[in-house]
Amino acid sequence: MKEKFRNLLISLLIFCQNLNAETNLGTLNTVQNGFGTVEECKSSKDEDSECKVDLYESLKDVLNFTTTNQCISTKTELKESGVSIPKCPKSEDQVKGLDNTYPTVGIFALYNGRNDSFIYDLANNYLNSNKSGKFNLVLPKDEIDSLKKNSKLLKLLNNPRVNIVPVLTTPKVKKWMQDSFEFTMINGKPALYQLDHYRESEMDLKDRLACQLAKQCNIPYYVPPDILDPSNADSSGLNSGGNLEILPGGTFYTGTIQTQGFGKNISSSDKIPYRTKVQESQRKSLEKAGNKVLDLDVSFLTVGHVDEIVNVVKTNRPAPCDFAIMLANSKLAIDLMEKAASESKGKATFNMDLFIISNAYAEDQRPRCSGTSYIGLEYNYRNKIMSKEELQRIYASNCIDGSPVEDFISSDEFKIIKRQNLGQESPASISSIMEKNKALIINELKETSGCENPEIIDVPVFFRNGVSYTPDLVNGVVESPPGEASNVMLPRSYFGPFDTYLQDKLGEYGIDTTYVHDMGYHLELGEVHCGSNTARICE
Amino acid sequence: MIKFFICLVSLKFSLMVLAKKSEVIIEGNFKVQGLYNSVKLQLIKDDDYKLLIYPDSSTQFCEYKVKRITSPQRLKNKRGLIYANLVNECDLKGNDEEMSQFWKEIKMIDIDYQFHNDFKKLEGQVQLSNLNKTYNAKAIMKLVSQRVN
Repeated sequence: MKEKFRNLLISLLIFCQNLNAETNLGTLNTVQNGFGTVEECKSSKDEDSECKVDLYESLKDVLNFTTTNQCISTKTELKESGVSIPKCPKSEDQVKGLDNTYPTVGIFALYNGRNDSFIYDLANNYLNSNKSGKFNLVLPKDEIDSLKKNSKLLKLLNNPRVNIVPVLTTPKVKKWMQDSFEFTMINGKPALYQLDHYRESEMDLKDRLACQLAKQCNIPYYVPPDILDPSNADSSGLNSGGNLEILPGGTFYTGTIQTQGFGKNISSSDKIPYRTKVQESQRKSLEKAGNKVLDLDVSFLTVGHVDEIVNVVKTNRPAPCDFAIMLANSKLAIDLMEKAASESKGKATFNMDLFIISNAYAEDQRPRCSGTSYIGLEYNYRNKIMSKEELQRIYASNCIDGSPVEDFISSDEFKIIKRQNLGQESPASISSIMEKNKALIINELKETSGCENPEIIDVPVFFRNGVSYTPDLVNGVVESPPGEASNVMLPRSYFGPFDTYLQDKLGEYGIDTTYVHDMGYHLELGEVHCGSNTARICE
Repeated sequence: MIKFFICLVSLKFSLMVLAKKSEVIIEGNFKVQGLYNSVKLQLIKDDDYKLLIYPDSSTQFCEYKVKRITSPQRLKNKRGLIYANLVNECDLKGNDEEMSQFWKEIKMIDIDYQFHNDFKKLEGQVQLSNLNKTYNAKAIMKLVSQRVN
């Protein structure tokens, strides 16, 4: 017995020492920052070890195949899986962004005991669509018991390609993995670029989520100049991740306030066009490192992040035009709803390519929109996987947040939303702002990507008071296998005309679509992309 | 025995009525630019959340059904939300004809609110929409109950 205990102790000591082992990414201590000051994450090893030991004890019987300090797949692993790694952009000694057309090596999401379905869908989709990338589950100690109760989820997660990132408590940024940091690249290796998040701004760097991940994953950690100047921290939501993304060609894009009258993410004394101090400083440092930064207008958005309205996917078209931009288009959304309403009158079912529905609704005796309210979908399915039959019934019902689509489009609410999205003069309509954003993106891509005619994929999304009404189909996670078109993991909108339209449209470009139940995220103003973070690679 | 039974049934009925009594979650005032008088508001909870609007000197009120409500602690951004739609007609008869006319046409109320330091005072940026126009307004409110979560 004593010998067993001694062996266990020795194993744990070796395991804990390996937490800071050198990987092919180099160690934290040797990494130099290309454009700012590097503040190394000063590890409190005692705390880390305590956490790991607890985790080891708690999960060793149920997650015996998972890893704990291998967050991203190595180049060797990628090559052994037959993945050919694309070349990096030039100026390799500087910080660069990798857009969504580069392959992923790891994805991160937080388990909080109320998002089992989200984690299940995301992990399942990622592990199936990617040959070698790692799915990282950030797991607060307090949530271990909750996780252990879900045998279906545990069975999926008990996989050597799943890496558990144990944390003592839920991070301040909570489930919004996108918001604390952005994955960038230096010398072909992923690097964590610290962003300013209002919930973390008063914390020591070593306690922030990005630093904890950097320590546990042995990924270089960058602290740009805007973070080092405390006078910058203005608690603006514009500073967070999700509001700094990358276009093909390498240009960073961010959302700023460019239109008067919405009064969101701005005070009455701020002048328009408006960038936060953090954004100003961030722009300077990125430009100093040889990057371009494009401002897009997010004035109408309550959260104010570009990932609510723009995404990038890889298509099956030949290079250099082997990508497309997904753009929120409220006119398309409204057209699809009006068309669905006119077809829905006197007709209970419709056909879809993916789901062959044979009168699923007609056979169901429940009221037509039963179970389709967003609060109901969140509450009933946060920890339970929906059956195919129920999913088919919900799609066939043609309901939006508990209302038949034909009732919704004849409501005063819809009339006002339609005006605000399409026809309003003051402040400007959302569609006119999105048209300007589209022109800015196309011009930038023409200059930097080598593609003369970049493709745009319109995405049905409409807004009430700056918040996407249905789950925002732009805000998906993009996984792009080398040499192939992307797989996109989208929030499920539960409205057939939207999901089917986009799935068909993406399919025309060779892009596969899978869905994630993210209603608990949608109701709190984010979606799948906001709830995850993705490391990409090049060489 | 029959009297005792009747008494029990009455007691149960009274308790049910009491249990259904609305709970006030938030109360405060809307101030709309261009309108002299503010109106009072109450967020209440019985079976559903409702937003009630009524003039200072009146017991008449307009009822808006809350479609979405969340507190800032749970949201991605800092503000909590209350989105509400008019239930029937809004007819605030009173001395202030201009105010009555204004509210008669308001179909949607969207409030983005923030807590102040003491966690009881709330300030809201408000959009009031009729079919043709959206007005910006302010709401000064206080938390009566901790129910919004």
